[in-house]
Amino acid sequence: MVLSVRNVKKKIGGKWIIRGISFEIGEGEVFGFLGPNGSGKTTTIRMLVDLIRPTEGEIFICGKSVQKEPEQALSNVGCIVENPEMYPFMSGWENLEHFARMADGVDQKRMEEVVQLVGLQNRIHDKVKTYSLGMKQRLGIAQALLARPKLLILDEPTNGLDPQGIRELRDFVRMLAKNGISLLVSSHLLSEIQMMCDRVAIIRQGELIAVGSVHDLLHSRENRVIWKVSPLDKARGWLEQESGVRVDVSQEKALFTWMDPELVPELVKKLVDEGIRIYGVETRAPTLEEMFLRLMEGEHIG
Amino acid sequence: MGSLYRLVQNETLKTWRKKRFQIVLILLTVIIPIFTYAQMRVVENMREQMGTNDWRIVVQQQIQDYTNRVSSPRVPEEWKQVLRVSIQKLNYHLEQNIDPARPNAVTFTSQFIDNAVNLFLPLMVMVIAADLVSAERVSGTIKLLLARPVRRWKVLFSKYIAMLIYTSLIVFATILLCYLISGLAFGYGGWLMPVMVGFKLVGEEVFTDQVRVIEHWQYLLMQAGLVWFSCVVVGCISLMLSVLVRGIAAGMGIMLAMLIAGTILVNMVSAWESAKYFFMVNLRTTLYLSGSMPPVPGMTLPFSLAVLTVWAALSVLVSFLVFTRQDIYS
Amino acid sequence: MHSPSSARIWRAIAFLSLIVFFTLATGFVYAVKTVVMPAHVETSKPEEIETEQTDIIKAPGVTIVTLGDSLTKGTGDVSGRGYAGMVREWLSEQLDEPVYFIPFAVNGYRTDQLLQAIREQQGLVAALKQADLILMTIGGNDLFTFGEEVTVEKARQNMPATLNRLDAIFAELARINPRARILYLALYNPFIRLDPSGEASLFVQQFNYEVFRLSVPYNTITVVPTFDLFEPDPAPFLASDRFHPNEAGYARIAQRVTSLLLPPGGDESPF
Repeated sequence: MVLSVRNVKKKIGGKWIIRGISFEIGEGEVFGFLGPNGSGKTTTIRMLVDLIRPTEGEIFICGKSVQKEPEQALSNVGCIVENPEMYPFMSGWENLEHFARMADGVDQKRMEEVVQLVGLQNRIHDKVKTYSLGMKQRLGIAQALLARPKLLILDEPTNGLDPQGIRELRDFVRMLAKNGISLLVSSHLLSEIQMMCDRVAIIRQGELIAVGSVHDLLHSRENRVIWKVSPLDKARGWLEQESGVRVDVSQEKALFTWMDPELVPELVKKLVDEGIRIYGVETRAPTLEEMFLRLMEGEHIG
Repeated sequence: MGSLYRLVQNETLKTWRKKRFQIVLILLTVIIPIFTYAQMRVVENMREQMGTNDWRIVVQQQIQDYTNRVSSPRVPEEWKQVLRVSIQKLNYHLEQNIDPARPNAVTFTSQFIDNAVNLFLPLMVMVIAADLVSAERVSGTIKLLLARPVRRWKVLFSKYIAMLIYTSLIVFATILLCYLISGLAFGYGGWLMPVMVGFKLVGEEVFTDQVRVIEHWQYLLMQAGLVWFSCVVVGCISLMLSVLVRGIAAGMGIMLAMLIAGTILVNMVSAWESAKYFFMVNLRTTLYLSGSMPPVPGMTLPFSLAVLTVWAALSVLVSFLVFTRQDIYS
Repeated sequence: MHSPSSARIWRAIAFLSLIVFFTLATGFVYAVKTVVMPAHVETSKPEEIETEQTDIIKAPGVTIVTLGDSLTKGTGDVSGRGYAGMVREWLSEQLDEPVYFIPFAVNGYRTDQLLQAIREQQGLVAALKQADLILMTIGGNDLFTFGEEVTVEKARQNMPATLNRLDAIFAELARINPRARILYLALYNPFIRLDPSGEASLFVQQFNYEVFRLSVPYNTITVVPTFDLFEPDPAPFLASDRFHPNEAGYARIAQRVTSLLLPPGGDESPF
């Protein structure tokens, strides 16, 4: 395991901000860390890189405890926490020099390598204050990659990026993962995570409410099934009686339900037998957004 | 991992590229000519008024002037003490036939740093030291700095070394610029001019039995050493504020308020004994060298140095304790 | 892509600050040693150091030196000039040459203090040597001690010794500068109103007469009377302390002094 978070809690001013979080990230895995603003996402990430000390629990990076052996543990991590802040009064190259001096075994060749990798060759000797946000983002990533980390932590990397930039970032993340680097990518925008990540954890009010592979989360649960039927009321009455089917909304000519797609053929047969006319049945995998909303709703009700 | 040497290199280069030291240099080159001109006017006025540049007449006249002020009922007693001490010293200079302040580049420099140690030099040190940590916090770079595989105490320690480096350079630059600029007006001589040290002050009495004459370069070297020490102490306290206080302006404001309070206190604390435990009241350690009246009677060089050292040590202690344990939120 | 400036800047700063650091630290240790353990610090003896003497410039012009007590200092004059300052202003207007002014008067000065100063203070002697005009008042504080009860009886006892010292002062002044014009401003009686019998006035004038006698052998010394300037009612010319003249009083004295300095032709320098 590259990263292992074990029952981490944080209390600030008598209030539990993080109430016991555990998850693990394996080699070459792209892990999504999902949650709305204020959910404890950033606090957790800061605990991973020793900016904040957990009240309880422990974090291991490549088997080394961040709390007990921070130097060994952190030498395997590269990170951008929130905005890609660099020293604006220095050039990109001087910034890289700065962070290279804080790690072992980063020579000039490596610096040139990462600059190539993020494609900043042309502007690297300009002052950072003249950089656009996207360029700062790239410099931030270059900085994070300098010391050849095993784990790269990107906190809200898509913030302020245009669609083109987001697409580039996604490809970049995939490329890094292919080279064996594990990534932890946090976001409050699920669509991005969905397209980048292998596994996700969803955090809410300091607790993980779901951890799993994107595939599992998307497919193991009920899917959205849209029934185009007539008469609508009669069909609705029938469907509501079935166990394992939840009718969400009914629109003009369609019923939106949550159910296991495996049940569809049997139900179709039933409805046809009841004289209901079926114009179409559509099975749609839910987006993380929808799933997220449902999880959130559950929280509220629960 | 991340050896201290490289960290110090980082901090030094950062401060340099932030152009803080260059700002100090510019301030110095603006301020020093002003004082040089003022000093030139004083000398010229004296000559214009008295028709002579015989230092003995000037000194004698000064003694008479002080004597008159001592006898005036409107002058506060604390001032009178200072004046009486000055009178005794000036008289001794006349007896020994040694000019206490011939205007030349060396004496000017000497006077300048003597007067600058209470406020001006601490301000210059503050310009650099007060934002060593808080600027990182304001710009957010502290997150990158502390997320690296380097122990926090090493990061702070490297900042202390950088503070020490630039404080030393500020004192040096002040002396160098003072000498170069004032030399244009007063000439570059004066290194070998005799200066008297070793005046001992017991109450209001100046004892001259241990007075020795040294050359002015030796005097300047000693002064520079003492001024430097005071500046380092100010640097330590500024750096602590930089750790404790979130904003750059807030840290500088607190330090500035303390320093200005100090300059006011120095002129009126003789009645308030315990004020001598403030670091601001003890900054001007050069007065023990020239045998002037300390702000609070009974203060001595070892006392002042002890007070300054305790303040600096506590600042260092507090800043390390806080810095190594602090959670970084913003 | 390589930026060599970092290494260069760092090396320069590190090298310079290292030297500066050790120099300043040395200075600090040296200073602490000098102040705390003076006996252990080797220093050269005063005699061994050659005092760099620059040439003393005596500018062309008229130099006024003032000596004595509060009357010459100008105490009581809110403008701070006193008669001496006014004389100086007048001379500056009259003459084309610059007028220099070296004030040495001290509040409360007595003859013994002045005599000692003239004999011992090199700066004062140097100034006197340059003087063209010396303005002085002295003796009042010998005769009447401020704060104590002022009686003619006590003053009379103090008179002989005071005159003796004044004689010595005149001799010293004439010896130090045989060329300068010396104006001694005589005493006046600020207490005329409290002195219906005239005993005090008589005594003051007696003292003034004795001073005049002392001045006779020296042709550079003039005793200038001020007694009549405060008659018959001194009040309008006295400061709030009822003793020192106020601005108007000093103006009167200054007028008398300037009349002595007026050359016969009018436009020639009196010196």
